[in-house]
Amino acid sequence: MGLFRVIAWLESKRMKYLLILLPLIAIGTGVFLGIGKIDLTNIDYSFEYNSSSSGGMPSPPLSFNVLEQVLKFGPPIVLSFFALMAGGFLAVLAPFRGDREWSEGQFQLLRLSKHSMLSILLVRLTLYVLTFWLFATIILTMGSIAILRVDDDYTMLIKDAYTMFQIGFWTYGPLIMSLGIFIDSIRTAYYMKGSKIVTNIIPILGWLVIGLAISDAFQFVQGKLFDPWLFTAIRDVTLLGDTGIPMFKEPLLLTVLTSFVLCYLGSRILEEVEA
Amino acid sequence: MIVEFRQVSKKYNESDGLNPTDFSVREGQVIGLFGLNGSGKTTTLKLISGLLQPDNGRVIVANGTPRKNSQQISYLGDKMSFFPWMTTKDIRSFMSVMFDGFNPSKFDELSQSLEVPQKAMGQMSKGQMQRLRLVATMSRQAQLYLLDEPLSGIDLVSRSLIIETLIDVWDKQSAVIISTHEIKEIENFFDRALYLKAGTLVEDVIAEEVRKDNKSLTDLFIEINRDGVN
Amino acid sequence: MIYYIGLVAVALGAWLSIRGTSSLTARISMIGILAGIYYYFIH
Repeated sequence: MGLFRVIAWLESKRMKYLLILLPLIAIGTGVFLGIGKIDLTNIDYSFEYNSSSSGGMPSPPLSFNVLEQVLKFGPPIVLSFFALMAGGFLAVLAPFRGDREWSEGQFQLLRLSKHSMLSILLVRLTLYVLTFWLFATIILTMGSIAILRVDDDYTMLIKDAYTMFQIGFWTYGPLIMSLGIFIDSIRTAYYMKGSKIVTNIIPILGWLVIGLAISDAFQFVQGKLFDPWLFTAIRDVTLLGDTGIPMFKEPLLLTVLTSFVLCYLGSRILEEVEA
Repeated sequence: MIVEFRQVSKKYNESDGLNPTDFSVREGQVIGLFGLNGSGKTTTLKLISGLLQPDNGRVIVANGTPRKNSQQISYLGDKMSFFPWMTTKDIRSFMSVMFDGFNPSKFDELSQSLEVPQKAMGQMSKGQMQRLRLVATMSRQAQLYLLDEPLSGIDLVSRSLIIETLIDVWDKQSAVIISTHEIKEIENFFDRALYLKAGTLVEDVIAEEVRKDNKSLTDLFIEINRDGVN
Repeated sequence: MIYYIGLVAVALGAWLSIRGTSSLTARISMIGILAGIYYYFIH
């Protein structure tokens, strides 16, 4: 527990600006969603009926419905989407550490501590995943509330969307973060000796290639071992403890294993690197 | 035996690094590791600490590998540093969780004797920072203390006093290896001296015997490096 | 032609990757990434 506390403390100092930015995005989204609600419910959609009664071309009911839907649900969906995208972007950057940490020797300090690099990396991963899960859940909850205020017929749809989000997050969230940790370890290994250009190219190339490779591997394994996850997700939903968070077993297991392997490789690199 | 170096070598390129070296260190000794810049002092300490792996040979610390017995080694590295935002108090809590054998009351006591201010690392002068790093290193209960250039950034006047304070609190059941090229002010504290030149251990002497010959460790250092080649 | 240039570039990258670090795992990982670049973008 001591290690968790210390790493949380160090990470909160390191990611100070990011941790200020996330609540700001969440608050901003909340404020805008509140305003959106008032404007939308007061819009009078009856103008198309008026025009048809005065002899013009009647609008097809379908397009009317689409327009209505877009106006009603567009702002909450778009706002939540952009807030999640912004959070996702920050999440991708979170594991990358500044060069100063390696050159000033804080790395050497952690490296000689009684805790292994693996345990340090796993604690970091857990912290990143929990932080962004909390952020994404808050955004999603606010978006859902905004939609339900407009029309509470959508309770079931929102519940399903929520479930799908949780499955998606727990399937890909830890994977993206551990991939970041792994690539940053490689970058560190080259930072010690290599040129800045090389160390700056590594994250981009690494993300592209390892991301593609993992996606291919996932598709291959999922195709071989079980049905594509989207089709079985609804059927094979299980509960994680008593928290009521629906989970999907196999991809989650695959994600946990892959994340662990990536953290393990990252820790091996950091232990082998000349400090 | 606390440290054993058996035919240990480490090469970065053809000229830099350490050539095959043998030596051992017993408890109760304060050992000076002397040499010019680039003579292999830091490499030797990093090999003992486990930060570096030797190309050949074996390093044994407290009857095991440096990795296995890492918590028996208290190391003040050339680059090792705390985070700049950390205050003296923060460092105390950090050390308690991250390192075995850290003694908070010894840390407080030493901070007071060495006049380490209660502020963030980033706001300290170079000398204050170095004193704080020394205090943190010596506040651990370990079998081996490795101090790489402990006096860098510390003014000439305080050098002797600082080393004296540190040696005073040092547990005689352990050993201290101090690497430096600034021998003069602190040479009386050493029991033994290892002289490195261009990655080779050229002399391994008992300080008392050198003094008996009416010579100082500094004299010997100059003699060895007279030709200026490192 | 592009394949050969790509192959030479990847080989050069691999050589630099081996020289650029002391970590064996990092070397293997970088060579893996370079092989991936060849497979996904050049091949």
